[in-house]
Amino acid sequence: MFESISQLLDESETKSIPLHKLILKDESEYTHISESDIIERLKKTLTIMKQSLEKALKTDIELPIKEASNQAKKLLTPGIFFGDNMKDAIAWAMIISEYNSGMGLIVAAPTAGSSGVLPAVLFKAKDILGKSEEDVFNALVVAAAIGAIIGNRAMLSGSEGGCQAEVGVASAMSAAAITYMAGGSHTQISNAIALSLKNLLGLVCDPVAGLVISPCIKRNAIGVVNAFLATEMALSGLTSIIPADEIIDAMMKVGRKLPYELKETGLGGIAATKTGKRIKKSIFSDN
Amino acid sequence: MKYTSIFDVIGHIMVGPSSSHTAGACQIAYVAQLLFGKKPKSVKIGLHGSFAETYRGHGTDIAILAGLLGFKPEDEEIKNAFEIAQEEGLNYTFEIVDLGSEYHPNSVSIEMSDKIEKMTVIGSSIGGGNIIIKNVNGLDAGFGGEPNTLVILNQDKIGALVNIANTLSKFNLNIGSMKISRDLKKKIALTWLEADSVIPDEVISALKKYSEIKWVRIINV
Repeated sequence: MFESISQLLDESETKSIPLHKLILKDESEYTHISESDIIERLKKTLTIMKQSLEKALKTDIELPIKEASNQAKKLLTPGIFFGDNMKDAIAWAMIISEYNSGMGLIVAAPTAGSSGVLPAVLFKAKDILGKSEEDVFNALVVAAAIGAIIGNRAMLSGSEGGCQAEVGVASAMSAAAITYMAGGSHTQISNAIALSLKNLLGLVCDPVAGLVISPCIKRNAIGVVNAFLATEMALSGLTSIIPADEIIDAMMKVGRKLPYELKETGLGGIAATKTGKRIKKSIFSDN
Repeated sequence: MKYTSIFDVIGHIMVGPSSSHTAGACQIAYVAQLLFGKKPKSVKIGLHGSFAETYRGHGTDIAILAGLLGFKPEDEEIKNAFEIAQEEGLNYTFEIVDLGSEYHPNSVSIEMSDKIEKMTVIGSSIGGGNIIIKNVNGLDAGFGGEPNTLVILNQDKIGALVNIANTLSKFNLNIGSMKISRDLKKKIALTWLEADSVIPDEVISALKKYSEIKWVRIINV
């Protein structure tokens, strides 16, 4: 397992092994599972990701917060300020996320609350760049390894670190994945991670009524836009003055300092607003 | 390290809405009933921390009940757990508990019983659907939902570990890690180990031949 982004990227550079191959080799050595078994399982994961989007597109999802139901599909319309590609991508992320909120079958990446970001970014980047299934698979491998590094150096849950540790990490994993898919250099991958994570640093986890609905579903959309933004910046040659690993460490410290109320307890942030409390009361009025 | 595989980060195929509050909760309960070794007749579920604050919203209660009924986090039947519990005659109660600050905010205490036995398992959902079982019947524990885990309750006496290690080697199983926690007063020990390959069911009967071994469970999830 890799302890830092720099260690992973440096090793791939010095050994001249493509990133996804190095990650698969390391996974196999560490877990004693054959590379072919790992690939097979990851392919299944990718299939489930696709199926969640396909099924979600066909399903009307009833959510416990009625006002929050059937929002995402309104985005399947031509772009106004956004191009159609970007509008599709945010729609897909929210559609998967709505499906998750309605107890649909999804792949946590890294969590269920942030599960819309990575598939939406991967599938749309594939369309835009005209890439193959194999390229998407390789990008998924990179995303997973970046998530594991962030999880080990910091955390991957709203209850431990706020939404920065869910949508923030999903966004950074996605940015790394599509920078790799686009043929970006290792420096650009590192910058894409740093820039995306930095943008969402400090984001709190404040679900209304404790439900993974509001603001979670729409925050999947910002995770998507932020991933494309950071990638666009990195591929244009912009750099983060703070290295990715240091930002991850900062994220961990910020996460620890966030108060209990802002870590998935549904007691702070927008959950604690007048309307947030009213919604909570109306849902759980039987108690 | 908390995350020892890329599948800890991507690859938890699960029913939503929350990896820690739904999938992780279901997984803890699923492992708990494996540890109990049979279907419980009655369960007392104590929700701690964030689990206590938001369990209804995340379907934590449905997920825990589903796990205790033997459903895994990816089973789309989870949402019918209340109905299935009623059909199967499983009695359940939920209560808010404070397990203390040493426990992760997403923790649950599950007391399972039937007419003969009772077992209490405390588990934590540590993010992304990953779990750790922290306590079994008052004995500290520390195993997750990794495949090929063997959990044994034995009398704390000389030779117990040797017998366990010898039995595993007879089955050509390599032990990757092994830990023990002991209750010196009751003279019992909880031993858990991870093997490098699949643990066959025959290991259970082979280990039960030793009088000091009270129970053996294979946790392969």
